[in-house]
Amino acid sequence: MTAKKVLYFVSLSSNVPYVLKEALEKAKNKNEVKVFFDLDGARALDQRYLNQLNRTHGTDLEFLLKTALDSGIKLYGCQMNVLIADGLVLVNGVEVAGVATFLETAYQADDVLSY
Amino acid sequence: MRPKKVVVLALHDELESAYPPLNVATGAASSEAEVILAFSRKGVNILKKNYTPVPSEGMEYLPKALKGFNAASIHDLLDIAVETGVKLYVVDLDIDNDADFIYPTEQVPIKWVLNEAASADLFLHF
Repeated sequence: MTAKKVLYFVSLSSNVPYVLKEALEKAKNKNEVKVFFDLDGARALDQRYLNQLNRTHGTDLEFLLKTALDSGIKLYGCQMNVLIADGLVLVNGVEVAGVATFLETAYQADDVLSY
Repeated sequence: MRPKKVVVLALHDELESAYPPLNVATGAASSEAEVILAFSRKGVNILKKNYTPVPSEGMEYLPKALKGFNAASIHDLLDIAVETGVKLYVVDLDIDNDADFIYPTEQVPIKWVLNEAASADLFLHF
């Protein structure tokens, strides 16, 4: 199967474990995968909220995020994250990006999926 | 260069689901894209004058966080969308005939939206 550029947009933290697991599968099959986290979804990238979310969702998000990054998946937190007024305390390896970056990436992608 | 064409379909009316389609639509329109923003199912409620965004269970912190950030309201974003040239549509099978929309909207079948999506550079639904 031809490798694709796959882009995920995640705005709900409850969807993050599923998206990361699916993203890892895509990356394993040599697809280029990027994940944008916005609104509630971006909390999963913040070191201050990881433990809380792990308890809520029963998942080791830190492990999933690290595995994703180690697999070459690009993770982006929304630059204008409204939920964290004092800024994101990002997990190592995660970048910040705005809607312009999201759109440019989305235009180039073969699949754009929102969760 | 031909402008990008973006089709965004809003399917839900909860607070956390209303922001992404509006943010993407206004962001795309701001970068000169031709943007179609269609509302279907519960998403049409966003267009109603009496729409009050309510977060889903577990998202109760969201209104306070948005207020703390001085974020634009959903209706403010809708105003910006219209000002930046986003075209609004509603899927006619989902319309309550007595609906009082904040902006005049064209009613279209979902087939029309999907046809537009097929020729778009980007199609997203939230």
